[in-house]
Amino acid sequence: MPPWPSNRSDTFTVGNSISGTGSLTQRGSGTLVVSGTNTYTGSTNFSGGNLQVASAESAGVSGPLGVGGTLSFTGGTLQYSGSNVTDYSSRFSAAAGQAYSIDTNGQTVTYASGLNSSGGSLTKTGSGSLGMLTSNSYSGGTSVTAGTLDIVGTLANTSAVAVDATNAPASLVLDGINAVSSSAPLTASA
Amino acid sequence: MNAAIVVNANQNLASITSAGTTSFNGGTSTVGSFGGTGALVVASGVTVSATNALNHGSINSAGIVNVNGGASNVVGTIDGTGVLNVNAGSLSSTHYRHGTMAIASGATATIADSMNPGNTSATGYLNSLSLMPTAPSTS
Repeated sequence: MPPWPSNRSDTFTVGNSISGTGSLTQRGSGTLVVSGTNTYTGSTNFSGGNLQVASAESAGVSGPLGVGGTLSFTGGTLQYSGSNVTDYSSRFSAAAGQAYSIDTNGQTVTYASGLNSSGGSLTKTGSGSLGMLTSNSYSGGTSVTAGTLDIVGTLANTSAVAVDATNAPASLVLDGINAVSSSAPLTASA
Repeated sequence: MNAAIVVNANQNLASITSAGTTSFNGGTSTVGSFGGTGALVVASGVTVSATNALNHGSINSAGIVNVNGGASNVVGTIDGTGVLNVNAGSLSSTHYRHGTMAIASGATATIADSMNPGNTSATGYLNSLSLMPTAPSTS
């Protein structure tokens, strides 16, 4: 498969299997729903809109985001579904400036690997919860605009942690000891 | 909508500025400064210390709240069965309906009515009030 960009403003579902060594990029403002049994081995790039994982993951064999490729975030959102709440954190790129954006979409998701992009940031959207079980060293801000972000491990960054419930209930839970840097301001706006 | 911060373990935080509800449900935590119009809720067995400032919409505490600094802290209302220690600085509130208050030497706690006579919303009761005497001079 050559590199395949999806650049749409609507919701588009790809149910057929995607295979090969190329990459998949979601651009535009729409939602790309991938529901096939995909085996492509290249990277997946979240560059705009939402990319919804809508089929089950079979680790090392197939899954909506292919097999083993790096997941890079430059403006798009990884959106979960009732069909898939896989922990993809071990595949997240640690390159500088990653804009990790996660929509739990009503699901409960936990990440066992740290998010470690220098200058990177994390945005948690959608209802449901995202649990972060280990230490994270991304150095940018953290934003929760819906649902719950549960820090069981730690956030080492000194940038602000903001909870914004303007459009939906949003909460930050600090379950780990010294879960947030002692230099990071916490804000919550209703 | 409601923005919430929930603390379930020991924390050492720079600041919390909240228009929502901040709940301390476990551990012993220190916060540099509190700000915002939100509610601060402290569970029984939990200790929260404000190092530099404690300005908030309300406090409802069954635990221990320590005010350790801030020249002009203002909290809208203070309720609960817990312990409120004003160890330094000053604290003003519209009402205190609290279990125990201890005011250290050199610290000040003001019920709003005393600053604004005729403020009929200002009420207060304490089950225990402890005022620390001025330390004797050593010179």
